[in-house]
Amino acid sequence: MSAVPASLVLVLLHGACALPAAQPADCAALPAGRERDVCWQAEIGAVPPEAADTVPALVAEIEDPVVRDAAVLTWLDDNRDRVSPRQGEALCRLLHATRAQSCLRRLQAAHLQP
Amino acid sequence: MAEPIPLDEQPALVQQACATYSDDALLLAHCVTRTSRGLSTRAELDRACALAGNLEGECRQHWVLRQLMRAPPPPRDELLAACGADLDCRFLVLDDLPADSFDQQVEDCRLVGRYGHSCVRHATTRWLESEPDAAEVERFSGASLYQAGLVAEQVARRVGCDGVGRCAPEGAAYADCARWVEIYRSSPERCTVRPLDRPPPPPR
Repeated sequence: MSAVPASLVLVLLHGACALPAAQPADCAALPAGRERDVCWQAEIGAVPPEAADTVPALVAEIEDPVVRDAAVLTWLDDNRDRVSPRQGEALCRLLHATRAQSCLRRLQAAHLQP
Repeated sequence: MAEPIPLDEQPALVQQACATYSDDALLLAHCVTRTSRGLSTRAELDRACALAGNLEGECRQHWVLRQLMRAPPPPRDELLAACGADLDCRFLVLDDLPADSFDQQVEDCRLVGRYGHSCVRHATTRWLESEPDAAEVERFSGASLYQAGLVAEQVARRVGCDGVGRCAPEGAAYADCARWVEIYRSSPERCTVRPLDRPPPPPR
């Protein structure tokens, strides 16, 4: 077996380290179910606050309401002081009933502001 | 915080809804939280919300929100107890089921800890919106209440902006009240500013 050049090893290692995290296309390729929903949840977690307007479309990909709650509320907890009230409200309204209500309360109630 | 009770010893509703998330603490916490609103008793709530970890307060608040939608809702003290240590949950209960008197409502704001100032602001804004007459202004001003300085400021709004009543000379916060009356009289534009921290609409 011929020796693998060190330069090639370095290139391959560099390529491996530079591999991007799962992309939306990867999540979409997964079969419907928990794994796919959790993939979208991770995608949402990586969205920076300046791209907040892209979050609702990603949330819409999640079928499991529990995973959807976790994705939205965790993202809002991480970014609540860096998104506009409109963006925050739009995300809260993706949740169901009392979870949407308490999400809005956390965003809007003066005593709960950071 | 109470020791979490294993999932297989939880109320049937929680077991059925959340067993599938038992391998993921975050998802399990969210599942228990969203399920809590359907629990029947306080005992079930205590067992379930202990599983919610950092979301325990929110878990309790969800159940309380549901109870507040009942007609009539359970007694206020029961709901306050169900909130456990979650101060915002207690604040929600106080706002939605205010005490029979404004004085008692202000005193009850001691229960919400760091949110006490906002709670008193809500209570005294309600008092202002009741359009108290001169006798009530002086009585309320003279009562020795929690957050007396803030109460005095709100009383002064009625005196200085609406020209109703006066600060009670024997009141503990008379100096604060009189100072705020002067501020409102000399800067009437302040009177048109809505008080901050107005009570939120009831959760119905």
